[in-house]
Amino acid sequence: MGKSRALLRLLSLCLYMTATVGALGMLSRSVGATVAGEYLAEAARATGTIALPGDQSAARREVAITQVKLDPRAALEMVATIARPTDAARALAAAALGIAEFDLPKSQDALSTAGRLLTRISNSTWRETEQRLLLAEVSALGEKALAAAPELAKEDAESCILLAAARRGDPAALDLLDKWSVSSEVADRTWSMSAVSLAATKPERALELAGKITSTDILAHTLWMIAEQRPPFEAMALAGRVSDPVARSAILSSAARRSVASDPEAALAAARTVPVSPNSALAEVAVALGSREVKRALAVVKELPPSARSWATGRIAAGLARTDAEAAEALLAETPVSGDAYRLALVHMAARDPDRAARLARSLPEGEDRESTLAAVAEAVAERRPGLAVDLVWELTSPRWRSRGAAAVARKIAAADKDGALSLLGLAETKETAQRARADIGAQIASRDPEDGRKLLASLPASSYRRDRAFEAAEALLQAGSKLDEAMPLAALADKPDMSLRWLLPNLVWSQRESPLHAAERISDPYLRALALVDAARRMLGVEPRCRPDPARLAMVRPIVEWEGR
Amino acid sequence: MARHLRAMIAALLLISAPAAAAQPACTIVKRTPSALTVRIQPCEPGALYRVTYRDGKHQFTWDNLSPDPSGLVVLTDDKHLQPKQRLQCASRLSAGDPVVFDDWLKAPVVGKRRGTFGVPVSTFGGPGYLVPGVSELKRDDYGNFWLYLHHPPYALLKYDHNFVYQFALLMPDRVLAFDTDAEGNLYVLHPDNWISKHSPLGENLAAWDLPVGREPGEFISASGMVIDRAGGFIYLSDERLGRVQRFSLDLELRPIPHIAWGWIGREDLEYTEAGKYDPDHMYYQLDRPRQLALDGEGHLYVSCEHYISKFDLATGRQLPFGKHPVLGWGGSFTDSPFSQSAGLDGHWARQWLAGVDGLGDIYIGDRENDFVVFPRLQVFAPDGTLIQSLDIEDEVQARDGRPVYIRGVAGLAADGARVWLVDAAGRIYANPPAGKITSGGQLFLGPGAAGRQFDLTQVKAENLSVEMQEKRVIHRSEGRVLGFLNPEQGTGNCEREGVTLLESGERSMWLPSRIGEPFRVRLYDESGGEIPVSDYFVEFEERPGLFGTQYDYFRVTNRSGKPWRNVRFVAEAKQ
Repeated sequence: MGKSRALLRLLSLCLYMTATVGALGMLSRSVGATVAGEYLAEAARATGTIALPGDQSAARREVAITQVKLDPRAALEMVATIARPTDAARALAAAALGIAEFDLPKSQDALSTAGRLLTRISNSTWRETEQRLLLAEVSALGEKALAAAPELAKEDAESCILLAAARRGDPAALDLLDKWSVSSEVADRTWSMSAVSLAATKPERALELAGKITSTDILAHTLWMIAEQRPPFEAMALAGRVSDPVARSAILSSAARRSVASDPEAALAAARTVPVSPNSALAEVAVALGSREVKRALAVVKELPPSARSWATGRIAAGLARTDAEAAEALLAETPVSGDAYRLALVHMAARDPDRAARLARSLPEGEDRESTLAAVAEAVAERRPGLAVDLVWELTSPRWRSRGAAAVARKIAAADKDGALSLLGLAETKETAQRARADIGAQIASRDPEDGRKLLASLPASSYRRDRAFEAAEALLQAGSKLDEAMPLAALADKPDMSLRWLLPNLVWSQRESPLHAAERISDPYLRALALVDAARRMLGVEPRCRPDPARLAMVRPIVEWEGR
Repeated sequence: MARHLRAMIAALLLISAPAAAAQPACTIVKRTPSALTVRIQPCEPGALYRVTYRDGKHQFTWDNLSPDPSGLVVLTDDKHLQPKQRLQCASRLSAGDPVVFDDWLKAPVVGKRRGTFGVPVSTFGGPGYLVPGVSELKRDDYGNFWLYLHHPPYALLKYDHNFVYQFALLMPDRVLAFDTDAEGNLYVLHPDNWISKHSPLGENLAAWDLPVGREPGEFISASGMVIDRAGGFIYLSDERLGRVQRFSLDLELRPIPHIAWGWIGREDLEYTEAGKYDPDHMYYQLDRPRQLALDGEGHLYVSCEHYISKFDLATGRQLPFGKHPVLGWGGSFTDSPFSQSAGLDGHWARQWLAGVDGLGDIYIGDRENDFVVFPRLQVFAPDGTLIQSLDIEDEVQARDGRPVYIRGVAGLAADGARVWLVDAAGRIYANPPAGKITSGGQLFLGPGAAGRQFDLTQVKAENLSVEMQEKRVIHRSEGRVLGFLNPEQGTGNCEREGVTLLESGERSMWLPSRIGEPFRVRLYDESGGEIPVSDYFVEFEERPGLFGTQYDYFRVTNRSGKPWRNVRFVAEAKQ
């Protein structure tokens, strides 16, 4: 009874928290939109005083495109003030997309106007290029998007829309493909991209689409991309449908590696069936096995020819060094590995057993490998054992590696021992290496003591790295909640106040101490002020473009050792 | 006891059996990496023999062997193309283009069957490769080299600082650009806007899709990449949008803070009229930017369609090359890159920005130029003054006296005043730190390089078998005839499908027959019917000449007056 009551209380608490978080989320989104709207309104005002017509047009375009996220109708009104046809067309296209949901005729009008504006471009190549870009941007409107490119041939325009929609994984691409008559290549690419986007969630449908592809190359590529998103046993079956032995082997090899965790026996058996470079496949399985069953992995490695053995051993040793320094040392003593593998193994080992890593690095014969390994180990042990790190740097003989080692160790110990770090830079014989390290240290110090950091940065000659680090230090201060005035002296080393403020301002959007709107008043150039406020609005709305991780594509790159053939 | 009895009976039976022809066997008399002298015994005068080597991994066959009276015969590594001849190899399309022998001799790694005769030659690891038409070389901070072969299967090969092969990364498609960070991690820019990252040991670490669009941080067609190793930034160009953007090593956008809009290139992203550069109107405008390079002095070089622009990363400003706004068309020269003057020294049509060394010297290779016989590598001082212009006919010698054949390359590795580049014979030349390409450097890799080619000194006698041939084996090879039309075919494959081939009156490129002895050629049309001999003209390479080969190449000229499509050839050794 008591347990039930406790469970009930827990459940209620969970529900309450979920509701609260949800409500807070909605509230914060709503507040965020309001604040972003204020930034954009101020940006729009600023554009009114921009002297150069090109700058004014560009700034208004950016305001309008961002405004679409908040109020597409207002964005549409803003477009009327944009002078340059290409800017107006882009803004119109964005607005057309935004209002299509609730006012289709107006959306179509906007698109037609955008298309007409682009016809003013005198150079035909440029004109057509702009029209294709525009079509791709409004491809979410499907058939309605055609209004944006009145001059393009129908098939050309349809192809642009299809490919852009398929690239986004928009299911509408397939409906359009049924309606439109496009080249077989465009159809193949549409099926391919659609199939790949469905591979993870609807594999049967993905394979059905892939089955429509007529080009052997596109089909092989599609099946490969699908296979990388499916469980290993499915991928192995798909490999059989790929005629290109290189692609087939890559699929099998990847599937074998991925199945190590669930079924090592099957993984090894699959690796042995890889037609192209089977030893590389076995080596990869052994490496994957190495993180779970080292002995078994090493038994597999022993079967391999020397080059594959060395490569796999190096990778296993580098992994093992993180958990068992002694075993890693024994492995490195047993099988020769590349200089890179040895260095990486010692770097990993240094975190667990700095003395052992240092001893092994010192035991290397003189030469480039010893120098680079000593420097890397010095850097790796610097935070835990600064004394050992400095000793290792002193043992470096080549000016290049001594400079690099000293700079790396100095960066690591600067937080705890600024003076020690700066004096260590005296060992760096390469002036620029030392100055870059001083700039990095200056930026580090600035996070605790902005004035001290600024002085160090100011002591360096004007250079791209001084500017970059000074600017980054100013940004970091703002992100940590400092006021603009605390960051500006640092930013002054990077650029003129207006330009610095233009880029620093978006960092204030989450500040509790300073409003971007107030900060914007300090930017005298209206163009820079407008751009800064647009960026602030974008950050507030969370609409900044970001690169997206793509593990399926990554798996298509296959490392092999036996390039020499059979 | 019973076992002894059985053995004795067997021995007696063997002795009492009628004398059968003794099975020939061979013993190794002399070994070199490229030739094996063996004695075949017993050996019948005038008979032909076949020697086969099988070690479980390799299998080679030498046939039609005529031993001397004592049974001695030499098994060479590849009778079609001797090492000394390979170094003279010129081209299938022009004498300046190196040959790619991937047609019949590749190992299964490229999905093709190796020929049944001869030992394959190889240079950069791939059996059958001499050197790809386009190659790019980069050196990481640890002294390792990454070599890109712009030829299927697309791969990046890693060598250590002594040019010892480490491993290769097989790519799903061609590579647009690659570079390493300060830790030796490799970043690769792939077509279709994605980037992958790999550890120094070849482990796949990460991949990112670049967002599509025209807003900051977005791309339409990412085309070039360079990494500022010391600063920790990646610069990425977009050939469609004409801009270069900066990112962190985790692919977070890092706008260039000295430029209002944050990227190098014009804010309006205006598409440039093809090939023009007008300093009055195009300041800061990038026309189809692709390759990028950094000089270590805070300058970014951007290779546009016909010119190179230079930017100061400390200010974001465009810098001139001496008195010229750009290096190339519209700057250091103004004649059209499509006119004959493109062949003049200091001029070009389309270029590779091969690299910038630590002295700020700029290396530019001919990418496409109809007005030069051999693709050149031209070296310019930081102020745009031409320092030298080299092609394979210029005399450059390695310190061991071997000739070095300099040609335009897509990318070379530089460290301070030192540069490393691939020469036309498929070797890597380490130029002395002289500030210009000069004699006295060291050659690495290339034909005969240890580990890259089957080393005949490693042959074990027990893996050799001999048999007498009943008759001479007629070697035969077949493939597709390609015309001159597509420049991409310079590194193409004779077996490539779906290509429009010879146009009326056109000649084919020189085709390697891989037969290595006098042969005849027959041609067949798409339906498999033999084309009448009167419809074409065949030229054979009958003595060592242009290609340094013998009895290996031929080309055909269509004299039928009709265009040909998908014409196949069958080459067969003469009786």
